[in-house]
Order: sequence, then C-alpha cells, then structure tokens
Amino acid sequence: MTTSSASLAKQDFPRHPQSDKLLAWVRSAVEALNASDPRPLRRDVRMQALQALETRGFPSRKDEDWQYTPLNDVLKADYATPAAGSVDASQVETMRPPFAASVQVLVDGVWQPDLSDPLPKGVALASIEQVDELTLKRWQQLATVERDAFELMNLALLERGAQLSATGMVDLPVVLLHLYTQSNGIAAPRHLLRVEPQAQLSLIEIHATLRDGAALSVPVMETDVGSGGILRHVKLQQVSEQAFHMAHHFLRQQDGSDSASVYAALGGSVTRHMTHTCLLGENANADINSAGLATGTQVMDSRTYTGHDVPNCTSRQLHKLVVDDAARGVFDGMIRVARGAQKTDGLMDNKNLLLGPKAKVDAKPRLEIYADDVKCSHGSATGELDRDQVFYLRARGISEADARLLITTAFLTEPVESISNDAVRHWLHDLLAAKLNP
Amino acid sequence: MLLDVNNLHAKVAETDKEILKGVNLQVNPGEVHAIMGPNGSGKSTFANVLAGREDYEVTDGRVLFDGEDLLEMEPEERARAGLFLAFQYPVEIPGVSNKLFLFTAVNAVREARGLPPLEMHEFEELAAEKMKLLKMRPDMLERSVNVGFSGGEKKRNDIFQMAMLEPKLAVMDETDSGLDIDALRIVADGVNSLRDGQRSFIVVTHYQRLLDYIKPDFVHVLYNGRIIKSGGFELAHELEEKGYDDLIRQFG
Ligand SMILES: Nc1ncnc2c1ncn2[C@@H]1O[C@H](COP(=O)(O)OP(=O)(O)OP(=O)(O)O)[C@@H](O)[C@H]1O
Ligand SMILES: [Mg+2]
Repeated sequence: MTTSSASLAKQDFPRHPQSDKLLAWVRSAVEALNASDPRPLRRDVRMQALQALETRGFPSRKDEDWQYTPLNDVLKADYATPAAGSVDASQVETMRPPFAASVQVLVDGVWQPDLSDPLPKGVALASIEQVDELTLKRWQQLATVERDAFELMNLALLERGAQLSATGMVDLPVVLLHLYTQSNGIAAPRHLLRVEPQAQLSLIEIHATLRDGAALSVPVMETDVGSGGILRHVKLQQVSEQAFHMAHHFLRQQDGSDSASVYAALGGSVTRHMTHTCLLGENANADINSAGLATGTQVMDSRTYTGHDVPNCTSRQLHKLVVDDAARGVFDGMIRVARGAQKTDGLMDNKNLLLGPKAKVDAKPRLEIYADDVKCSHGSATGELDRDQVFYLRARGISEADARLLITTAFLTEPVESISNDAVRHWLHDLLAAKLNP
Repeated sequence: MLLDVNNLHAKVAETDKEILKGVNLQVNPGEVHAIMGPNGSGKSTFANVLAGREDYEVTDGRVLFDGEDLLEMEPEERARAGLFLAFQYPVEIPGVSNKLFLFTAVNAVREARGLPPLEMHEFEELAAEKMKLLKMRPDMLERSVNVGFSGGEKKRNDIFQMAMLEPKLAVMDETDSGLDIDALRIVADGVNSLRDGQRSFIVVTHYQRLLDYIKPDFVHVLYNGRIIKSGGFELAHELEEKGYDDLIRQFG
C-alpha cells in the first residue's frame, strides 16, 4: 500500500482549522532569519522544519495528543514581529530567585552575558549560534512531519538559546532566567545542555513574562547526561495569565546516570510542558515530578514520555494538578519499555485535586511494555478535598479555610518536597503555597 | 454544669435514618462518664454530633456546653471552646506534618482563649514534654498526620493532641481499641495526668480494662439511640459479666 505524504499528514495529523495565521507568522519569521543568515545548513534546518510544520499544520482536538488542550486562543492571537527586547539590571534583580546561584539571563531567549553572574567552575556557556555542524545535521533529521508542531516551530525559528555544559562537580546551582519582554511576542529559545560523564549539575529554569499579554513562548531544551552524571533540574513556569507556553524537554541519559526533574506550573492561559526521557544506558535512574495549580480559566497540560530502552533502569514519577474555578488540568504520561529492557522498574503516579465545581482534569497514564521481566505501575486519581480530613483539622480548632489550605498546600507541594537543595525547595514550595493563599 | 444534653435527636443528613432518639446526659466539671453499648447503637454518632460533624443533622433537642448553645457553633468553635474528640478512626492527612498541624491548632485555640501565641520553640518544648509522657518517639512530630502510623500510634497521637490542647471536656471514642496492654496503660496514665478536678471526660468503650485504670464516676448504656441505663462504676462490671441481653430485654 502506498500513501502520499500529504494524505498521510491529513490522516494522522488532524489539522486545526485556524492554523494558517500562525503558520504565516512563522514563515515570514523564517524568511527574515534566513535572509540574513549566510550559513546554508542553518537555513536548511529552518526551512525543512517550516515545511514539515506547514504540511502537518497545528493540531486540532481530534489529534489524540491534543484532545484536551485547546489551541484556538493560541492560534487566533495577534503576534508582533520578532524583536529582541532589552532588560536592565534592576529588572533582573527583582526577578532573581532568593537562593545562592549563578543566574544567567535570557532576554526573549537571547543569552545576556552582561546581565548574568560569573559562571561557576566547571560550567561553560555559549550562545546556540555556535552550535556545531553535527548537531545541526541531527536537527535536520528531526524536521519531519511526525514531530510535534511546536517542536517544529521551535526548530524553524532556530536562532536563540544557549549551549551549556558541566564538567566535574558544580557546587553552585545555575539558573536560566528567561525573561520575555514583548506583551504579544513569540520567543522560541533552543538550549543544549550537556552533563559530562561523572559530572554533577543543578539547573533551574525560570520562565517569566515582564508584561501581560498574549505572548507565546516555545522553548525546547535538549539534555544529555553522560555516564555516571547527575542532573538536578527544576523548571518554574510563571508567565502571565494571558500568555501561552508550549515547552519540550528532551532528556537522554547514559549508563549509571541519575536525573531528578521537577516542573512547577503557575502561570499562563494555555500551557504545556513535555518531559521526554530516554534511558539509553543501563543502571540509569530518572525521577520526574510536576506540580501545577490552575485557577480561573487556565489550561495546564503536563506530560511525560519515559522510554526504558535498555535493561536495569528505574524511573519514578509523581505528578499533581490542583484545579480551581473553571480551570482545566491535563496529564498525559507514557512509560514505554523496549523489547529486551528487562528488570525495568518504572513507577508513575498522578493525583489531581478539584477545588472548583467547574474544574476538570483529564488524565491519561499509559504503559507500553515489550519486555517480560519488568516491574511497572501507573496510577491516576482525581478527587475533591477529603471531608474527613477537613473535619479532623477543624475538630482541633483550625478554621475551615485554614484546614482546606493546609491540606491543599500539602497535596500540591508534595512533588517538590523531593528537591534536595533546601533553599530551592523552600522557594518553590513557597511560590506554590502563595498562589493558593494570595 | 459543663455539658447538658437534652432530648438529643439526630439523623444522617443525607437520608432520613434517625440514629439518636432522645439522648439525655449531664456532665459536671471534673466528672468522668463512660458510655458503653453494643455495636451500632449510636455511640460514635453521639460523639461526632457533639464535635459538629456535618454528616449528621440534629432534628430535636438541645446541648449546652459551658452555658453556650453548642449546636449553634462551628466544629472549630467547639474545639476552641474546649471540646475535644478523640476519634474512633483518626484520619491520615498526607503531607501535613503533625508539627505544623498541631502548632496551628494550639495557637488557634490559644487565640480564642485570649492567650498569646506560642513561639515555635516554646511549642516544640511543650510537645517534647507531652510526647515523653505518652512514650511517643520524637520523630512522630515531623511525620505526616497519622500517615503510616500503626493503629495504636494513631490513638496515642490523638491523646497527644488532647494533652496539647487542654480541653475542658474530652470525648474519647474507643481510644482503647487497638491498643496493646502497655499502650493502654500509657494512655490511661496520660488521661489520669490530665485529670485536675475541673476537666471532664466522656469515655466510649467496649471494655472494662480502660475503665479499671480511669475509674469513671458514671457508666451509661446507649442502645438504639437512647441511654437505657445509668449507674456507677459497678455497672461496667455487671455488663462485663452478663452482657447487654438482659438490659435490652428490660429497657430496650
Ligand atoms: N454517616 C452515616 N451514614 C449512614 N449510616 C450511619 C452513618 N453514621 C452512622 N450510621 C449508622 O448509625 C448507626 C450507629 O452508628 P455508630 O457508629 O454511631 O455506632 P457505634 O455505637 O459507635 O458502634 P461501634 O460500637 O461499632 O463503634 C449504625 O447503624 C451506623 O451504620
Ligand atoms: Mg463507634
């Protein structure tokens, strides 16, 4: 049976009827970037990604991956022509997290060494401008219709971002402080992170908008953790309540490596974060957690793909969404155990709490197992606040509001309690708690 | 009088199932009352109605606590006024530490009593002292409320909370069930140490053993939503020997 690529696209990638406006924006941005870029390989990467994106379009809700996450508002918005904004040191100061760290500032995705702290020993940072040919060729291979539309969009807009590498034990956390300046801009930073064999790094990503408005951020981070490497990763998403955020984190781990990553979602109108993990070497471990608090009419989508490609790896996941008012939460998690990946130990837990009568969560935890000697489990539960728990606290003299707050805060912050750095953990815990108790 | 329960009727809020069918009970300061009775007779319902659980609806009668209309008060107001319920089944609250929970509770109760809030270190000292008395491991304070506690540890945790909150009236719903012999002794000693001639207790139990330690002033038998017999400590002995059958035939 033969199928042309166009009809394949139609079949497998249900196209959102309002795709064209944003596609046109991306095309003109790509053309402008390519017109001023003398390097053919980069131009090809962009153009191929654009063409793949145009072929598949943005997904409609008939696309299984986008069933619960509406893109109408994202696609309808009027976006400004790309511009790199500027930020002054005092603005950076107010956004600086309250713990000891080397803060690296990215303004609309562009690394600003002048606004950034000195790098700790063992860490090297460069603009993605300097990315090598091999990586570009690999990215070229990624520019196909099967990839996610926003991942393709990020690749098509290839220009900004940072290359980061860590060797040895880096003792100071590195913060990538993303400040988005345009109220209706689009920024698509692409980062490469390499944790060298036996190295250890703690990386904290913050994504924040400086102005309210329907801005769209589409970041992609690719991370490689070498043999025996250790990565501690935290991402805080606190863009404005009108903004959109469509993010991917691709994590590849070699043998004996260990990663722990936590995604905390607070802001945005429609937001999604995907952590895509491939365990490529034996005896690797990945901990993947997330905590999201959706209020008003926010749509928060948190998802993971965890590929156990080789034997003897472990993965641990805890994902929580607290949804209030008429907000919506989406969790999608897939653990895939490849043929031969024996002794895989994978555990994924998703728990959601509905606070508002119109609040809703759609959860889809999945397992695909092609090996026979594995220990895998997944669970998902969505419910309301437990009345017996509330009564227990009230019966001890605690007001109903405080009782609900205590229980909800504990529920929401559980995924961040595993962060080993006390100051980072408290910071994230307090941010989540503060949104619950403004 | 500390507690005056008069013709109390209550039903399950969601249905029309009447459970309490006219309970009368008077408790003076310093008195210890035991309530016994067969399974399903309404003992826990009575305790929970006193504490203000919303699953039940009071359909008739009135309850005065320290001269105030108890039934008009929210559960937290009752606790702050000095009513304490030790639960038959203490609930687990994942993620909420015993310490934060009890610190919040102690200061809420203190505020209602016009006392200045305790500083964390003062609270910790007080907690350490009470836990020692109840032979509880200090790490129990750091753990999530009742999560992973054994049945006996949960009961002891409730008595610990009682010791911290210093109520005027403690209602203990089968605090003795699930306790081993040593733990029973420890809990009983804990209760006795809280007896100061003013504080009162209502002890719901199926067994005489706890009563032997606590020595109640009065024993009541609750059956089918009513107190069908009241007496002194000797009534408990009688029940232990003869069971409820005779009584039920006579009064039920
Ligand atoms: N929330 C409820 N919904 C429905 N029925 C209830 C509810 N609470 C209590 N009941 C019923 O009311 C009756 C009394 O229950 P209660 O728990 O008060 O008994 P008890 O005397 O404490 O029994 P036990 O000695 O077994 O603890 C039982 O038949 C019980 O099933
Ligand atoms: Mg009972």
